[in-house]
Amino acid sequence: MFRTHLKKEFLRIFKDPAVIITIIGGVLFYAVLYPQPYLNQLPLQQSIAVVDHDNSPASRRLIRYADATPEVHVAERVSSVSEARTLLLDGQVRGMLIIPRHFERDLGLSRSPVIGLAGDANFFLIYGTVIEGLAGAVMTTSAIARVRELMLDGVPLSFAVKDWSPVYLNERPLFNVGMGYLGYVLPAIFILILQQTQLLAAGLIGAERRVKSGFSLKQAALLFASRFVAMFVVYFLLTQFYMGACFEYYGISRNAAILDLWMMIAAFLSASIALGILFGQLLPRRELAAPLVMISSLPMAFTAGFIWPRELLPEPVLWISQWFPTTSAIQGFLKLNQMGAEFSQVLNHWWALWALAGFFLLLSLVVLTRPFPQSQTT
Amino acid sequence: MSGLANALKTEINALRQDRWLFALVVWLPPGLSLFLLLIFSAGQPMDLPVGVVDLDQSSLSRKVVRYLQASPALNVTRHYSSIVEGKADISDAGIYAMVVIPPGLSRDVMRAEAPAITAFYNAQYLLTGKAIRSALLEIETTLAIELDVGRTLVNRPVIEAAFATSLPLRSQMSALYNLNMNYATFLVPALLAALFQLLIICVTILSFGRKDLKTPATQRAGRSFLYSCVFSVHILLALAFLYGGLDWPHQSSIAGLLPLIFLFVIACQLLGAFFYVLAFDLVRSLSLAGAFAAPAFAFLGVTFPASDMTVFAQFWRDLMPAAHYLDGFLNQVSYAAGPAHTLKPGLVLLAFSVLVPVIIYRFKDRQSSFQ
Repeated sequence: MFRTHLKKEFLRIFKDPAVIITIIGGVLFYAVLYPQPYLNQLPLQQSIAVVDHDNSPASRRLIRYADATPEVHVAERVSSVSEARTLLLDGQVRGMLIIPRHFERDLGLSRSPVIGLAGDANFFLIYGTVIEGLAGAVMTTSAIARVRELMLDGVPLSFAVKDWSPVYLNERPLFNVGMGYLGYVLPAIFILILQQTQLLAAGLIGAERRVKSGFSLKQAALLFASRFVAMFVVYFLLTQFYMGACFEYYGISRNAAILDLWMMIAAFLSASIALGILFGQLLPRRELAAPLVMISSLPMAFTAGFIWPRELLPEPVLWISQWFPTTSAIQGFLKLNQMGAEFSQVLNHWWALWALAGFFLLLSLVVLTRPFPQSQTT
Repeated sequence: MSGLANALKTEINALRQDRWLFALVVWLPPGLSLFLLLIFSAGQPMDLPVGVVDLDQSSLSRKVVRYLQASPALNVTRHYSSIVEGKADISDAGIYAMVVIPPGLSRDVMRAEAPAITAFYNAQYLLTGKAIRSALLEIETTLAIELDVGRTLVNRPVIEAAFATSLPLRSQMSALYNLNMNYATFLVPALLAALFQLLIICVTILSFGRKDLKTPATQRAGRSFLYSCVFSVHILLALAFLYGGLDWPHQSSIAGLLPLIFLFVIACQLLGAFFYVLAFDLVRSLSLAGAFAAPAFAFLGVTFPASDMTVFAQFWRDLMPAAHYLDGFLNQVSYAAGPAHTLKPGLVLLAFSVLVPVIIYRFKDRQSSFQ
């Protein structure tokens, strides 16, 4: 009995071109397309304009230091801030370095001249990069001036070099050590892609059936179980492909023990597939599956916590986001696979996913066993 | 005009009968926009939980902790007695960073041995990682200057001179066009562009797919024009709410954006119609559209700069109306650039009209193959 049903469900997946294209085509296509914008990992060598009002050896040294940083590249030298602004508007430069008149004299007289650094903050990543590079150059110049000062005070060079700052910050980024974009975006977004293609496929399969209710409990359970198992097998393999071959190819860390990972995958897929089956039963027409799934992607991605900290989400947003399997799944997978957490540390996410799976299972059964309505509303 | 009135009547009827289409056209656009806006209501990463391992327990180390606590970006929520103890909390994101104050910090500063305070921070969450890093660097500078001024004052008992010695060079950083570094004003316009591009393409396909070939071309055009207006009004209202209601900083009037918005909506509709005539099948056309438009946000270039994308990614981006709309939008709203800077994105959007003959040809071709 179950075996014939299961066979039917596998056929629903593999015989329907729309479904198989969504699953296999979608997963493969996005594995290639989604990483495209981020393949260069970091935005380096951003062009800047320099406004040098001093034109002294000291100001030229500062410009050389700026040019020497990996973050910025001095593309233009202009005589006024308004010229630099025009270049910024045209997109020819991303930031500017403004050196005041009498820079060298003030530096020599210990008058702390003020260097202007500016960047286009409409693009935070570029802004951060530009400011980091320029601030680094200013810091170097400052340090050299400080060392010179100390030596004038009679401090030996070897001491002065070490002692120009009384205390240091030794900063150590963890997990995504290079702070690259692929390692940041892909491990999370791949989970979302898996869930969304699965929801879409399940929606297409479910909406195909004319009869959506009036099943006996046994029939309903049989339908749910067979569809669940068929989907699970297909998506378990696709998840292995994403977290194995794709992560390997894009150089994304895989710290989780395989059994821990499988346990998390089982919980994630169960929640996602149960939601998919429910979605399919509620959907009146096949063509609505794609628009509804696709417009939910942005809210799901931005509430999962990897872009914007969940601590800062307002209460209603938190409440809504807990119903997305991706929310718990992305947090759980990132902690296990990227951040090296023990399984005991992600148990809360794991149980949350099972709770969602159970809830969607119950709702699906309720929908399936509802008395057959007089007319199916569309 | 009767074609338009006719289209209006049939369309209102269709919307009343189909609550799903009604949702996609009427309340999901503002609803989703509001949801995306709410996500970033905090504006900036604030009060991010961090842990401290104070191995020095001196007045200086306590001052470091106070500085951490005083930073708007940080919130010291945990204290550990060793690094090992804090490790688990970093792995499960209970804290985003752990600051380790070494034993003998106070003594080493006195002896001018330049001790190092170590900060481990979670760089997996890139945005929080960067926010924490810049907060820590700021504290480092403040602390260094304060300690140094104290030292220098011994030799040069004039506060200004001591200050200038400690800090030979100052820099003033200007975040142009987004002065308070607000993440909502930075991300939400781009999110809306991606969302509306997707919605408009989908609704166009759904509307073209209805009653397929029996609909005369004039009525189809009238219906499309109706949707151009509906979605333009949606976008305009959303922007009026953000820049008028919430008073986000803007350099030009939002009403002045109407031509750009209108061109953006029409370009999206043309793409939708194009996807429809490629397959003449609702499900398949929507799959194509989804493959194209679902990941649009990543390609828009607000989070990761377009200029640093691979050639293929830039090409893919150029195919998206949302990317050109956003260029024009930022030029006007943010940069207050001259008309020439808004004209170019507008012209690019206009160029999507090359799809018109393709769409008409495909329709004719299909009609004749049916006769």
